[in-house]
Amino acid sequence: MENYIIIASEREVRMKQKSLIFLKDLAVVVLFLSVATIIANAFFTASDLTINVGITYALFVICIAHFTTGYFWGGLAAVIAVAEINFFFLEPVMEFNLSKKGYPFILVGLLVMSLLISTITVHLKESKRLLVESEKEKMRANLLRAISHDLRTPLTGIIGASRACLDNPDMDMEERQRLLNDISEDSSWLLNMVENLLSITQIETGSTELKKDLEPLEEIISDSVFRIKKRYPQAEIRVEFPDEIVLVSVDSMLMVQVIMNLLENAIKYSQSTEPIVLKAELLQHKVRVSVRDYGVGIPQEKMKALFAGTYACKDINGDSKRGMGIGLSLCKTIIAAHGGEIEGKNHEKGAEIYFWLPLEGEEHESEDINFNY
Amino acid sequence: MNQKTLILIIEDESSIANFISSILNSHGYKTMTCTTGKEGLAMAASHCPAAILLDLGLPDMDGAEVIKSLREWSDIPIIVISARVQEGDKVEALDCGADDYITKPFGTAELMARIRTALRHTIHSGAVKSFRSGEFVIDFERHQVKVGEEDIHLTQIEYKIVALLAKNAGKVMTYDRIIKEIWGPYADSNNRILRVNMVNIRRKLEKNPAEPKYIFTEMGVGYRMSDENQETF
Repeated sequence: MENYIIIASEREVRMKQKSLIFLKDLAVVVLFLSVATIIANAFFTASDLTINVGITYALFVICIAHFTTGYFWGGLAAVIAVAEINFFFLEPVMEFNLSKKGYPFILVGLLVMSLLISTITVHLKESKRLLVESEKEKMRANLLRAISHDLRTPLTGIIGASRACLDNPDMDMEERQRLLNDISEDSSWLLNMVENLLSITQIETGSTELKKDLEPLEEIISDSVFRIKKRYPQAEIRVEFPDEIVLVSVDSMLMVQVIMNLLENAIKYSQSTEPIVLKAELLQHKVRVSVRDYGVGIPQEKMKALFAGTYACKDINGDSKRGMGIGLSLCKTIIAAHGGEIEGKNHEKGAEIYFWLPLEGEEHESEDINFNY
Repeated sequence: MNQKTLILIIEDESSIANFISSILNSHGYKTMTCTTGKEGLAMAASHCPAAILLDLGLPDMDGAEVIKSLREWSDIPIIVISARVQEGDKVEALDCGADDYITKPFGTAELMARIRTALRHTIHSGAVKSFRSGEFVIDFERHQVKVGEEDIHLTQIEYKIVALLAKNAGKVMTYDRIIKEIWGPYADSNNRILRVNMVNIRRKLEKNPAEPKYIFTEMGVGYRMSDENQETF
């Protein structure tokens, strides 16, 4: 039900945007034509080179076509420009006159030229825009295809297991529990996927700014660790904070997702039972968060494409279902949207993925400030 | 586990309403379900349930409206069911008078914990001298806090915050509510001072501040003190 309300208000926003654009285009036309007329007049009175008048108007018509939307304004400006030339700069001045010899040809010629100029300029603009749009569409289509494929796999498991339970009421307890467990795990994985997708839409809306609040980094880190431990109770994670209290301006939900993604990768792919180290360090004007594992490290071929979102990248075990895929490229987008950077590297004993976030001003407090009021 | 305890579920998605009923029934609660806010208000008035589970995405009314209506005549504990993207709605619901929230998707343990907490009455400071949860003990009379054998030294403000959370153990307290209770109704709603105080509190109380056992942060909403193994005396 809420969906319809959202669509209606989007329409309102779009209409407001359209009227703003209309006003802006109108202003551009009026402004540019006025300036053109002033300059043309300067040429006209200062010298005998009436050709400069034509060139001036032509230049400004091109500019108008470039800075306005659609074909209309450019064409309108072309017509007005020619009319102005006739009125202000052709004998008899201050009059529209087509009777003098050669005038009709001059004016029609001027009109055709200016219309052509404006049309070509707008056309170029449109082509460029369409190209960018089609690239975006292709990326979207690829992403959707890959996601649909990845969603189908756990769903197949869920449908299969639940059907098996339903069709076989005499199934023994142990087997039933096993199937139900599979359903539970597959659904968790699906949920993870959906959460990632939601985050993508939150960032990609383009016009909406991230909703950032000042949050203590420690709380974001503990929340991430808490949630990961729910999913992987055996996981051992050692956390290191700086002594100062660090506050960061972030969207907490997204940041928790980033850290969870990094921890999960370390747990699933390091193939090691040594504790993972999650460390936050306060640096000059930034804070650095790193997840270090003591396992097999990241193979060279994967390093380059680590954050590129090579979506269904095949694992060493050939388990293509749960590749690192969308997670890290999403992390990169989120961190970038917060003004930071994320990188991965191998250290001597395993892999380390780290990111830093900028800090503005006094976002950290030392422990011994008392708030006793 | 009172056989007669009635929980009203106001939820328009039948599969969710079904599994909630199923869980509650298996724990000995009686349940009633309805699918719209109006029905919900009518049922609440005629059946006086012990607690209400209210979905925020109802087709006919805003969750906040339902809560405001209910709060005009009743103190029935209300737990709102919200989805991830409704951060603002959750806080609004809590500020309107909801007691707690639970985020979809949730499991049995979470649901039962919320229900149990909602049905428990708030501790009034006059009646109760101290509160214990696990190793954490707070003595309201002597204004002392201990974890295990160790005395914890808290500043005045820090103690007030901890005491407030303890009196409402198990329930979420929004940042705004804590600020108003501790610093008064005209306090600046910028919660930075509260957040910094809480980080200090955690560092003092928790053996491992990265994995808190006593005070949890509900991101974007507020704080909640654990009521596991709770005792009051």
